[in-house]
Amino acid sequence: MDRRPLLTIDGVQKNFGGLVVLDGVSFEAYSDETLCLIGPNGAGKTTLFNIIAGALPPSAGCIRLDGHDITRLKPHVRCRMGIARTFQIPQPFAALSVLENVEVALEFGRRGGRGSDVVQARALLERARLTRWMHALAAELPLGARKRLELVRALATEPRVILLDEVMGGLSPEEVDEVAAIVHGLKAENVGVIFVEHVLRAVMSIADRIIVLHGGRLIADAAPAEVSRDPAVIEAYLGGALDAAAQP
Amino acid sequence: MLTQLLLAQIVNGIVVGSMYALFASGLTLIWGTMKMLNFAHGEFFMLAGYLVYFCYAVLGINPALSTVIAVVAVFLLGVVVERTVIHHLLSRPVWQFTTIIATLGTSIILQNLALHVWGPEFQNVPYFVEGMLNVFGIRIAYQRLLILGVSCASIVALWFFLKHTRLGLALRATAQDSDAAQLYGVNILSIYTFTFGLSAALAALAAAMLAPITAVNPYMGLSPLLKGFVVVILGGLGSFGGAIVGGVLLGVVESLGVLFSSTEWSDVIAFTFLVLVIWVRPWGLFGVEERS
Amino acid sequence: MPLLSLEHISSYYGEARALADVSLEVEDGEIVAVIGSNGAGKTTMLRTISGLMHPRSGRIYFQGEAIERTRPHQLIRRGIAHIPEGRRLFAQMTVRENLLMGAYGAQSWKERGQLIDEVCALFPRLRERIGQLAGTLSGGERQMLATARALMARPRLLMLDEPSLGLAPKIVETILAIIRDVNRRGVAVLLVEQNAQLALKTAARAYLLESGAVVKSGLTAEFLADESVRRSYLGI
Repeated sequence: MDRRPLLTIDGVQKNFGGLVVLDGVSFEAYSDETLCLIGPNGAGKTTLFNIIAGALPPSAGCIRLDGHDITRLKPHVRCRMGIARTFQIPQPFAALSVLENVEVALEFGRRGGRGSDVVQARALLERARLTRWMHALAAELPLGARKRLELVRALATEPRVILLDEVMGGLSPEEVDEVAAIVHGLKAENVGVIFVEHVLRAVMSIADRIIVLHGGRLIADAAPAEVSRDPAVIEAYLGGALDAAAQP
Repeated sequence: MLTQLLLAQIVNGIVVGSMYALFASGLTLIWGTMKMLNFAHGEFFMLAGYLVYFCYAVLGINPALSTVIAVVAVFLLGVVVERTVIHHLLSRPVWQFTTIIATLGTSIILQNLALHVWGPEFQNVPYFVEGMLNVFGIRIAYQRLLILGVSCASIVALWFFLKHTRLGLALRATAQDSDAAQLYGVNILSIYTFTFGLSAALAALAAAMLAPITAVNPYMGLSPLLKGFVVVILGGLGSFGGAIVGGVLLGVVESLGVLFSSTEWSDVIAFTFLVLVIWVRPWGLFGVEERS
Repeated sequence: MPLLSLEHISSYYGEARALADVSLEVEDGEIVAVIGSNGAGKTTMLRTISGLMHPRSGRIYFQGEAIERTRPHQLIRRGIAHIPEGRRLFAQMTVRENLLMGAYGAQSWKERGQLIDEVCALFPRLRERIGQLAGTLSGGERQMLATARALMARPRLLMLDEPSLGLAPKIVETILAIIRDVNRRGVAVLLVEQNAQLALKTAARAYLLESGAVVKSGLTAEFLADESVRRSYLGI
């Protein structure tokens, strides 16, 4: 079967003044896989993420969703087309309840503008194990629950691909597992997932494919096991192979 | 005839502008070091004006000593205000806004205090020195020359202090990177208190010089405060040199503007000038461009 | 008695836990490395030691005295110099003024002058650029200045946060050589680095941080040829 890419990142370049942050990055994302974008500090992964999400324009190159060029589209338009994103520091509508937060997302974010539906909102909350927080104010939630709410608000827009921005940061192992479970469920529904992450231990078991950025360039694009043995990746992260020969 | 008038106005503008510069350098000092805006700055100016009036006009203490008393007293007042009103706000959330409200409140309290103690009447302070100097057909009051002299001397002294003393170094370090300053031994909380007092003292010096020219009243701090912020933004937030140049420039523009229209228009001219400069250079004349 | 010891330190940013029950020791005259991938808590640890943030629980001892509640400006006087991540030079001050700030606690201007001479002997490049603004120096020169500034304080413990960041390998070698030299004169070094290979080459002992906790500690020889570091950085 001819598998068409859901999202195509083609030759993306980003310069800030004289500084080249992304240097011709290209790859494809499919709806049936979980893709993770990693790289040491300063590699450009957050910049790339923001370009895909529409928060930043690239200096060159293009982004295509199902073949349509979306490079110049604003974030809210991308949302209507099916690209949802979360934010690193979750900022729910603090004065609204958890349920109301989800209802807002259902009301305004869905394609076709179908309006909100309490039944659907509750179903989403249950999926994220947030039911017991349903009527609590979003401001009262602990970090793990807040991140799951962030995820649920994005899911409420019925995306075709969801972009997760360092969603694992600061979570306990149990909370990481909870998020992982939600992501697994998405794969079954043919929603593409693209993660940007620092916490590699968490994503290595969730990701189907890993893209490694270093110095603005793509240095690896493979399954987790291969990537973790790739000498270029090891050098990028550890500075070099660790062996007895390295002693002065 | 016109050239003489023009020159006279320019000289006047430089004189008044140098006081704007002194006043504004206090504001910019606080901004640079503490990253906050002090809305009570005009009231330090006002209280110093009253102190000079009280010491010189009422008690007959000689003007130099009166000035020193006013400056020292207002320095101490600045220290007290920082310790009581500002200090505990700096470590709390949204301090950028709470400090504005707090200093605004302080300003209202001080204005009403002055109103209560001295009444709303304008008080006159006699010139420190009488007489005029006649040069190239331009007549300049000795009082204004005194002002120019004092402002030049204090700006030089301030520059020397910042550049060549240990405390001045610490102040600059705190302004540039407060974390690094702390790591190298600077007690930044003490620096904040000192900076606030120093800033108040600068406003006090400006008031002592200007009191004989503009009359003393409880609301005399309002217009300078507004103009002070104009100067600080014109010169670039945090730039000491910018405050000086901006102040003198504003003084000259105002003086020349008054020539061609009337005094009521002086504020309009000043602010129009500011808007034009900011339109072209949003970060001010000497400010540092911020890249988003 | 160790020069520096952390006992069960936990630090938080709001509710997010950045350090979880960290214990660590540095003996007089040692070079100790702390490695770990990005976000492991290395910078938080140094900031907690130097007082820029306070731990929620645990104790820190320096030369036997508890310092976990001490304010940062007092610690340099006790002998702890911290070169923060990104160097944090005073960019609008000259090289000379930055060095003077290092000796802020010195007793006299004469002493400060002597210290500048001593430190410029170690870093001749800085002598050449003594009147230049720190913001105009190259990356390597900036790291040299940051190190020199710290040495001006005559520390007993030098803490460096990612000195190799953004520098070419050759320059990093120079900096490390100077650090080794300084260490030979009796200054203990706590070297925090993301670049594990570099850190393990330089130090005698190391700690591996992961998600705010110490997952491995010991002699650097034990770290080499051990899968645990690679697994910690890369997840599997």
